Amino acid sequence: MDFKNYNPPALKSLIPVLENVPSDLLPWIAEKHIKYLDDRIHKIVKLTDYLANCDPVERERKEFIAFIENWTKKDNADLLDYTKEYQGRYTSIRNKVESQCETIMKNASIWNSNDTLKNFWKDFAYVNEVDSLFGMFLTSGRWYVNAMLPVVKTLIYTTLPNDLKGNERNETSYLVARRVITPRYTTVPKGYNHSCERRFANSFIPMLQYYDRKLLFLFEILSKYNYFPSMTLNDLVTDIIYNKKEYSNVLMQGIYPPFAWHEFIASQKPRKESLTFEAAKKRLEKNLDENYRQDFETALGLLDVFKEYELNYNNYNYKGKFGLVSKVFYYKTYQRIRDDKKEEFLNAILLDGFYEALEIINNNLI
Amino acid sequence: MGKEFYGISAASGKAEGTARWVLSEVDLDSFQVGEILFAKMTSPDWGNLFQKASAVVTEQGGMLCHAAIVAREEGIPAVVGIGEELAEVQNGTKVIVDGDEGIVTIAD
Repeated sequence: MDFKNYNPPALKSLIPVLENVPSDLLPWIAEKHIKYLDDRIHKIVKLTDYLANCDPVERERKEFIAFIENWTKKDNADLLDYTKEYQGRYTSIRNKVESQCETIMKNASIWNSNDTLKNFWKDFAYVNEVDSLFGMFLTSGRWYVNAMLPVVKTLIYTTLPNDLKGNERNETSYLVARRVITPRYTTVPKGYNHSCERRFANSFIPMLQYYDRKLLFLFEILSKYNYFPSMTLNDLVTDIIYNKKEYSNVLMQGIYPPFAWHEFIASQKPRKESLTFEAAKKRLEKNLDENYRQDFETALGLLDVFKEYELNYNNYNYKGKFGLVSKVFYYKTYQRIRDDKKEEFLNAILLDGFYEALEIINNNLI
Repeated sequence: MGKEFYGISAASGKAEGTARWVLSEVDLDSFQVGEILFAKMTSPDWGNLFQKASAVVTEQGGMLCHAAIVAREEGIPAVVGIGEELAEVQNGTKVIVDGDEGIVTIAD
């Protein structure tokens, strides 16, 4: 079966975007991006709590959690239906973010007055806070749910020991999925059998190893570029400005290499040979109950699709277009903010505190 | 053998060594080759720390978390998502990390 119809919207080349960003702003954009990317990791608990308690998107958050949770709990869930619905949601929010990026780059009228700017920021904060929920529920296991849970649960269901039947099989696979993907908020009942969890986790590791390489594809591409030990982030930014053609392979895939600075450095060391899909599948397949072969194959195909979503989200938001365009927008807004509030605004927005930034904007535009 | 801590297997293999907590970049310099990296969670800017560590153990995160991905890439065992009780393990404690079973055991 071909699962490509379920994939996320393909990323477009960054070359036209870069042509519309003033070159002298690019070093600032890269420096802020990397600094706050690092800060974001160190403050991840605070940021998770912020998103988990952000009132303006509470309804969307609860609805999203219920959507994934219901599909994960379902016995015999139709994963294709789940993925189709997920694709619709994901595409819808991406289209909104894309439309706002176009407005930022092309519609000068948002800068006409403080009111037009505030109105745009109000929509921008809402859309991107919802988009952050997609990111949190796709790339992270720190929260209550993760979009891959229904797929992973099916992989567990189809590979559990065959003495587990009916409701017990369904409940065990649900709990094991929650434990291995989102352990922080998963409490297990008394008598929970950890051996099923260990058996699954152990058999799932090679499959994840295979997909890790997919997520780390930038290592492969960036290793081909010339890195020297004294090289700075700014050197890379400048090199791209003057040698765009050399980087076109990466830019065409929607990636801005300075946003992948850590990967660029790490890419220089040799790596082990990657596993083939067939080799990765073997250990998991050894535990497969053949009665569930079709469900197993569908879940594996959709795991690949969800890994595409994870990659797509990271590349668009953290390594590509949104990272670039949003920073142009932040820089221009920063110029319009009272001096004593400028840094506060940057700290809030570069850590994705969209509503914190909105509040500063609403009260401190010049 | 001492107390056992149960988490999620995230990267295969077994390793024995000294626990060393890294809570921020300030702790990076004191980390010695062969030590076991203990963290609440790990960060992409920790550079070559994973190449120095002989195993990784985290309080938070599941099989998809950063620590799990990098440990698999580096070929070192990882047990993740143990929870807050992991804080009981002090720097310098000898531990055994079983990445296949998802268990961290105090060795001394």
